[in-house]
Amino acid sequence: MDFKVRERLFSEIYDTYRHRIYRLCYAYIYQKEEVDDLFQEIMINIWNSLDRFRGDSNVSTWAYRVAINTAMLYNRKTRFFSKVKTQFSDSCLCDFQESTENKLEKERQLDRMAQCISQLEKQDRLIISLSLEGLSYNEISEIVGITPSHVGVKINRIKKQLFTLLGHGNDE
Amino acid sequence: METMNNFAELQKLWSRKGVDDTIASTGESFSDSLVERLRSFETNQNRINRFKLVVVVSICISIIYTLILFKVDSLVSFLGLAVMLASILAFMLYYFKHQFNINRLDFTSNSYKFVNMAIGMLNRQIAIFRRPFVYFILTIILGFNIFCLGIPNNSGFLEIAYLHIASSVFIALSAYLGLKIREWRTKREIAPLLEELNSVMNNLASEQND
Repeated sequence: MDFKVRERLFSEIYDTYRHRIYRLCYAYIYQKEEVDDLFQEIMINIWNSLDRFRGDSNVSTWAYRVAINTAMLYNRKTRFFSKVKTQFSDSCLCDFQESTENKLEKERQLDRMAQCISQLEKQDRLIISLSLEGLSYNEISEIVGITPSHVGVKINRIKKQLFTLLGHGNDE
Repeated sequence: METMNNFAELQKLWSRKGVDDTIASTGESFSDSLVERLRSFETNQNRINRFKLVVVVSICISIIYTLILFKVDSLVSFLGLAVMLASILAFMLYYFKHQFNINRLDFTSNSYKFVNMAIGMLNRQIAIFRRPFVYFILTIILGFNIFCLGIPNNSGFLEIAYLHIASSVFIALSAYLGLKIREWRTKREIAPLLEELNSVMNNLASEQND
């Protein structure tokens, strides 16, 4: 693939999915520095895998696959990936009109939620983060490689666990 | 936590989290900067590949130099060298074929396939330093002993026997040391990852088989 085409495709994916992929990293690891590392590695793998993009699955499924697979292989103690040094910070995509107090409260809730997610099994964190992004069972099934019905079973179980961790019963 | 009472609310809350990719010092976006960095990353990868090629060529040159230095002209010594060279070549090919290489993994396949692929690759990497490595060292010892047999020597039987035994033990001990280092690295680098991937695989497989 030509460098220019690759660059354009990468920018498109980056612009569209960077927040979602960052949240996936946040759900998987929780510690800020590690989240940044994993995010970088996912971006590098997306870049390196662009040659394999044939358009037979949609871009979001393709990008999520790379993200999930990179996360699964990510191990703090095992640095298989070469590092590209970058500096950036996470942020809350808040409405500017929102009051500071409300913003802080939401951030606290968000942090609590991420903490609870980080207590789940590793692969469960990834699956619930896909579900939190609003992906359907079929889409998650395409990414993970298990049947949609089992995705459903799994997600219901993870949701129950998550609500227990959050300190109240299941809503469903 | 009063508001976090259903999944839709959790989704809404979760969507507030994002990455701020504006680099404060330059004001440019992370995407632009990353492309630049990736470009240099690729250049680095190419440099590393060129370096590997230089190492292989250097090994070949040093072997030719050794031949000239020892003025080897006996057929037996050539046979010994050929055994060693063939063994090194075969092991190197085997090593590079089965070495864990992140670039060989298809990150675009679904996770079930991907994890399977990664586990297979890691197990093959561990297996390199089992039987194939032992065969490699044995053929090196054999080749070296054949090589020594062909070198003109006026020493007595005991001295020659001592040379053969000492060099064989030296090669075997070096190999043992290499194996121990490898074992330590495997325990530190590969084993934790393999353990995690196996647990993911079991989890996914159990969902499949339920």
